[in-house]
Amino acid sequence: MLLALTFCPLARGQDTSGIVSGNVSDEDGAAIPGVNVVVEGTLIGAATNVEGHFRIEQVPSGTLVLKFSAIGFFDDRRTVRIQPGEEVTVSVVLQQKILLADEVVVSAARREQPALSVPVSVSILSADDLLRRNTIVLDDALRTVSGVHILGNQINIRGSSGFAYNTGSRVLLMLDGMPLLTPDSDGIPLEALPTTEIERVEVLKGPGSALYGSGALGGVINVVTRDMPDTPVTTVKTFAGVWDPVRHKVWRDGWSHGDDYRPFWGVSASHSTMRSPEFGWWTSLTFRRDAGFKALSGRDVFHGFAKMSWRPRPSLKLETLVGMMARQRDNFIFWNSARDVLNPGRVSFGEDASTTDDAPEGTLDDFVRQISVLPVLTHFINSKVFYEVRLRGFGTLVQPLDNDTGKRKDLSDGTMGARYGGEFQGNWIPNNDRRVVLGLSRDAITTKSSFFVTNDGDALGGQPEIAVFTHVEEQLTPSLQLVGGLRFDRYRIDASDTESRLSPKLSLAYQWRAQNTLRLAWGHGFRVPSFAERFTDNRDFLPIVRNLELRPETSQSVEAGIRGVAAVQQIGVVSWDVSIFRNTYQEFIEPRLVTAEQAFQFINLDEASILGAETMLEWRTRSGSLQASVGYTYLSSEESSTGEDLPFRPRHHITTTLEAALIGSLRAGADFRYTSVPDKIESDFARFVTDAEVMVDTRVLDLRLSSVQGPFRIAALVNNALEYHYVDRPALLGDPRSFTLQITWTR
Amino acid sequence: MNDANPVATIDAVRYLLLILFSLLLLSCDHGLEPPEDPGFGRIEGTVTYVGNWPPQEELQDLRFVAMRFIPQDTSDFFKLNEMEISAGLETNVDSDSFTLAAATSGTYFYSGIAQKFDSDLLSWRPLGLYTDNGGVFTVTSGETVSISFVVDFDDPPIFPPR
Repeated sequence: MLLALTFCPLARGQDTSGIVSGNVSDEDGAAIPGVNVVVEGTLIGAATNVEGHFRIEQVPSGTLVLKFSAIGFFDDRRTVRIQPGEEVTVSVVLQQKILLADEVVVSAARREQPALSVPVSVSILSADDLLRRNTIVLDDALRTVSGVHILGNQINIRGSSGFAYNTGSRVLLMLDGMPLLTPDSDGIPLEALPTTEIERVEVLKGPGSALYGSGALGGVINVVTRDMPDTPVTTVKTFAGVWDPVRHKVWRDGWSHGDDYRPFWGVSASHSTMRSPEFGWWTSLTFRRDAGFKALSGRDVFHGFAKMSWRPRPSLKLETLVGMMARQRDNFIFWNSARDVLNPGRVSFGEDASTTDDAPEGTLDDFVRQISVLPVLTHFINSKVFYEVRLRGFGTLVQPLDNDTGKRKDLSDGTMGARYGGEFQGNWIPNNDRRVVLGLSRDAITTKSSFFVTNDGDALGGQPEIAVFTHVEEQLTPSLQLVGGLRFDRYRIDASDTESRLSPKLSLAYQWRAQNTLRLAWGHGFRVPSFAERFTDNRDFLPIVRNLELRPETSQSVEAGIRGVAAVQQIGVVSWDVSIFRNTYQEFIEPRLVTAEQAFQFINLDEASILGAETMLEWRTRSGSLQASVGYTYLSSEESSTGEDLPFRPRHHITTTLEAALIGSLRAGADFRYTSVPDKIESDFARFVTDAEVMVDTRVLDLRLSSVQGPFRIAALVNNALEYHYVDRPALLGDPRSFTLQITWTR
Repeated sequence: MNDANPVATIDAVRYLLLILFSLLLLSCDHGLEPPEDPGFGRIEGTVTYVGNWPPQEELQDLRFVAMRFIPQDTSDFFKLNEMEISAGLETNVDSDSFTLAAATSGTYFYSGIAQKFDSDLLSWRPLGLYTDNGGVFTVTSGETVSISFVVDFDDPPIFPPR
């Protein structure tokens, strides 16, 4: 009865009411107009005026809860006690909803959700990040992500991969949620991505096998392409630049073009439109040419992409992404020596011990074609149930080039392979607190390569896989979310061998004060050895023998972390992400020189572990005129049987970024990254390749200046501005200083 | 919260960041540098064969090899960057000569005639070693080292060396 009286003001006389008044401001003390202030459970309320002031009369006496809400701010509640005839004054500061809270990711749970609240570590590169850095190939931008370290084109997330001669990856690349690994080596085809059409790149750190199966052992990179805009947009982007001659004369003197400024340039055009409310598309074409800053390192790349979206009715959507890439390149594999870094080396061994001209060179020039077709059907049965059907096809043709004539050799001397498959994903949302995903996936690989000798004599070796997976999210309380997942995979390695793996995961996310999330995550991961790791049998460059006994590797990961964002008065917006993690690996696959085989071989190590911590701090002013970020990753790895560090895992990795608005539309930016020399450098490679054990810290500073003038955006970039020479991977000099001018026209 | 001037605060942070970046620039060197030129010398030698040559099928290759280390097992034959290897030598002769025109300067600890006796990659064994001065000689940049030794087929060296 008392409650009824309390919350039913019309039933009470005026003599028992009081007045609540006050002010509402933001964290900077600025008044917020238009804030709705209501007595919770009633219709009594008022809105703040331009001075942020409100006054509510005829408020029933007693203990009441006032709810404050405004667009762009988090809700707030205050409990007040009011006596009959009394006026109570309340002052409230509302927290602004800021950028991080609006960022979304899809790879953490196969659905869009706020980045702030996901129970796993995730970093996001936006389309603007890619544009500002003139990202030509995605690894240029990934190098700026905290916890991501790239050796050559091998991506490490928190030290997962090391350097494995570009065979096998412990990071799964996905394009719009669909796996995109090369059929032969499970390598990441970064050049086959439409960098001009990327909406964002999500970097999921830690095992993702419970959702995505093999390949996601160390993490996931999901490239999300953009949707169609409401109005047609055409963009033409051109860039041109030069590689600065390397600093040391000894190096320049070793190559006839050592003193030249070597050019690179490219042009891309894209157009997107919604032809009708039901149908839209975008397409992009890109060509780029790079003369290379060292001998035999030039490349021409052409790629085209198209995405079509058809929504015949609101509940049904079909999207198809089609891509193709053709690339001809001189593939510089290793240098001649640390005194002759601009020339490829030679391997002298056995029959070729006299270092004659016919000894193999440290290059493998090739012509590569890749094509991908990725259709997705989404159907909403009702507001609680929808499903997606995804198909995927990815083909690769690699033709080596003759070193003397430059002509393409026959395909039988190269590689042709395809990955194809599809998946069904059903989604059930019984209520706001529960989501259930259930899926079935089927994939296969078909590869024929002159480098591989498959076990069963099947020239087109296959590696079919079938998987079922489930993912459940449960909102236990308004602040506490539980996420569980389970995936069962079954792979056929060859005609007589199959492998099964169960990958569970469990995580908790506790959100408090709206903008802080504490997370705990545990999960299993696994990876089937790639074709290249298992079947490569070749002595053209290094002696490598196949290992038919190679087993899948597994991992277990635990992580605790906290992510938050806050608006600090007069400073701006500060966000942070701090995590500690431990990944243990069983049957870890690493290349080793095996004496009994007289060659390199990929073998299973007993156990290895990586313990680490990662911190990320970002700051920006409210106006966005100045922003800065710093990320630091610490890794400590150990191979259990020897007690030694795992090779090629740098202990310290730092990334920093600074962006500032100068005058008008003129903006300046800088990225700096530091990677310490790995404590252990695998030395067997150095038995063949002179000075392959030579490594130094990586300290690279990239600078940029940009301005927008009407439809044009003009940018100047100086990459590796400090002219710092480092080793990109063993026996390969990293990019020297370069100067680039970029002009983008958008209509 | 406080009376600080927002513009002044932001300027302060801006300057702080500039200072940090400046320090970063100043603290950086230029990274990888070419190592000192080790220099190259010349090795000339003669070898005299004593005893009966092995069967021809076991003479798939024959070379003079000079190593800047003492091998411990056959996997050390992979250390191609720490050894010098001559062109192929003649077989079934009483003596032969060899020349390494560009041998890396340094001290060589284990040198002799190596025989490839099978098709396997590492099917190499020593037939006879240079033993003067404990088997050690030094190549100095721009200078020539002359060595001579005997291969006795009836008394092959033990491998790996004790």
